[in-house]
Amino acid sequence: MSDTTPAPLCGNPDCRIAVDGRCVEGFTAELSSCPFYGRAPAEATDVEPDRERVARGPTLPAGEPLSAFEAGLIAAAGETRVMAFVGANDAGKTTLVAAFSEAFQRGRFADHVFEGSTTLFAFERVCHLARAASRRAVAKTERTGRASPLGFYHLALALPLEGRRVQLLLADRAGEDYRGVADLPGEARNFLEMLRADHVTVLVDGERLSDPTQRHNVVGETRLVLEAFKDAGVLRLDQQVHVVLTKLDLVQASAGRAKAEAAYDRLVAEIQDLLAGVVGRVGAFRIAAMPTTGDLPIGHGVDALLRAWTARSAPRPFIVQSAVQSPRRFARYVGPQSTTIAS
Amino acid sequence: MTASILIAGLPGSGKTTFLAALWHLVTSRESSTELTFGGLEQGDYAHLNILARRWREGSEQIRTELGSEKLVSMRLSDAEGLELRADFPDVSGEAFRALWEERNCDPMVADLTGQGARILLFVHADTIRAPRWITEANAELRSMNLQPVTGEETAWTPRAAPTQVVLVDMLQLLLGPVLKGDSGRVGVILSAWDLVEAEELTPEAFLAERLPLLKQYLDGRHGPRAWRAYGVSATGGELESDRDRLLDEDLPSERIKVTGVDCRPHDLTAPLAWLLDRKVA
Repeated sequence: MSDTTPAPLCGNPDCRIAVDGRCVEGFTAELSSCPFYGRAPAEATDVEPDRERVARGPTLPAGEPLSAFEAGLIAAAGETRVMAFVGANDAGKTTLVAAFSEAFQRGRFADHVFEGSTTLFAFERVCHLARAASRRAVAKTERTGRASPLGFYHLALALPLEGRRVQLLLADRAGEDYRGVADLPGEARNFLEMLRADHVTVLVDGERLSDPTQRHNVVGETRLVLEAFKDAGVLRLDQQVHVVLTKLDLVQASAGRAKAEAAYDRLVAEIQDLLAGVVGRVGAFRIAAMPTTGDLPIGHGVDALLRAWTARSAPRPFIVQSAVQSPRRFARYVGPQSTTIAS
Repeated sequence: MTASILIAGLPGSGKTTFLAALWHLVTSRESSTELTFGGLEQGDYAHLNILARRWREGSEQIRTELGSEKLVSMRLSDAEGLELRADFPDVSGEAFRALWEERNCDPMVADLTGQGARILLFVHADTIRAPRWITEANAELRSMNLQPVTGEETAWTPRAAPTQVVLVDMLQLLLGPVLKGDSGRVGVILSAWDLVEAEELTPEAFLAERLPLLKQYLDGRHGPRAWRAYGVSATGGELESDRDRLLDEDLPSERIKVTGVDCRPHDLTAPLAWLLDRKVA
């Protein structure tokens, strides 16, 4: 660009294309597609308002992950699936959650239709570091901090082809907590979401599995954590366990691909043996929720996982019989059997 | 009867321009409309007259600032001669933005929704922020043999959220258990429609393509019982480049363009008539 070329103009006050040549909306390669490019910068009224001037009205829902109590209210209102996630830090838990938000922003997904969410605000926060607006060159998702309490992301979905509606509650907990269970198995009984979960999704970090220095630790840690939950009696026969290989794009691109995939297949078989007669079913899924290599589409494999989560299940007793009776109401309540879509 | 209509939308979504054009349209009687002007009654029309004057001159409207909101009223009649008084609070877009960003509701908005105001949601059709993922952006750069540029990472702010996410959450809050807005009907005004009409989409199809999350929500159980979308150009073009042409129109009302179900081409009252479930001609 010559010195006499005028600086590019952008109506988005957060964009610094005139400084670093990068479109914050992600259209650097095709500026004409950006809705703000070429426009005058936003007027002063677009600037963050003086907060003192915004009069306080009624208290509104925060849009943050739901507490167990709030999740319980949703579960009481209709057919609900509670998803617990087991996995170490960076295994891809939060990325998977973000992938669902992203999928429905593009339209119907896996024959499911978005009907609402009380945690849209929280979804957006976790998506940020994977978006062009973050100005990152490589996508990542915000890690759930160890100090963060257990929370639930929420999606209200319809399955019009089946005439059903389902509320999804996706548990969010720091990865360090799961590693901690392997160290102190007695802690397993405090995992409220495991006591209530309809589906336990075990995330196996494909990137680490592809690394010969990490592969055996991944397998060993996963096995130990599940042993702890099994021995604590928090798993149930009406639960399904899904063993999910994450970051499939990195697995397929690595030199250790064959070893990684073989290790994953062996791990699935071991878990099936370990949990036979303990849970209803152990399934296998391979996903790339937020691929970085560009070889797989965003959300690869996530559709199959969603279908498994929302599949019709056998009627469950109103009060779940569990080896562990939690004092927390959310952990015990099952909710109505189903909600059909009115014609 | 008195009907309240909450004109909701983010800053720059065309709310004030709509009011200005509407006031001119009904008081001038230049063009055939579903709802007709019922005359002046006791009240203060200064704000509406100022807006309409600027609109006729082809001048940009001054954005409604926080704290300067006005409640404007119009006496209108429907096809059966039934009179109604339509109240429109001209609320700053910042107040609606605060619903999403600060989880705070302006007391005037809360009062109106609590009293059963029907919602007319404004969206600027040409400044929709879509979610744009690093993965997609990098794939495009690679296809052009360019490398991703590393910049200083920015922290998340609610302002960065895609437009449709903000709109869905805004509606969820307005129609939800705290604010209790009237969920019977919601109208969606896609403003600056002249900038996107070359895409040859109906307003509903445009919504499905550019705001798919919003459309799913509107169609779903937690959305309104009925909704319609209208493409509206209350100005008739871009003031910067089209002002001379717009001022040349013999009848200013004919600058206005409305696209939607059962709409006359210049009739801004059509969305209101539908929203209020009034008898139409």
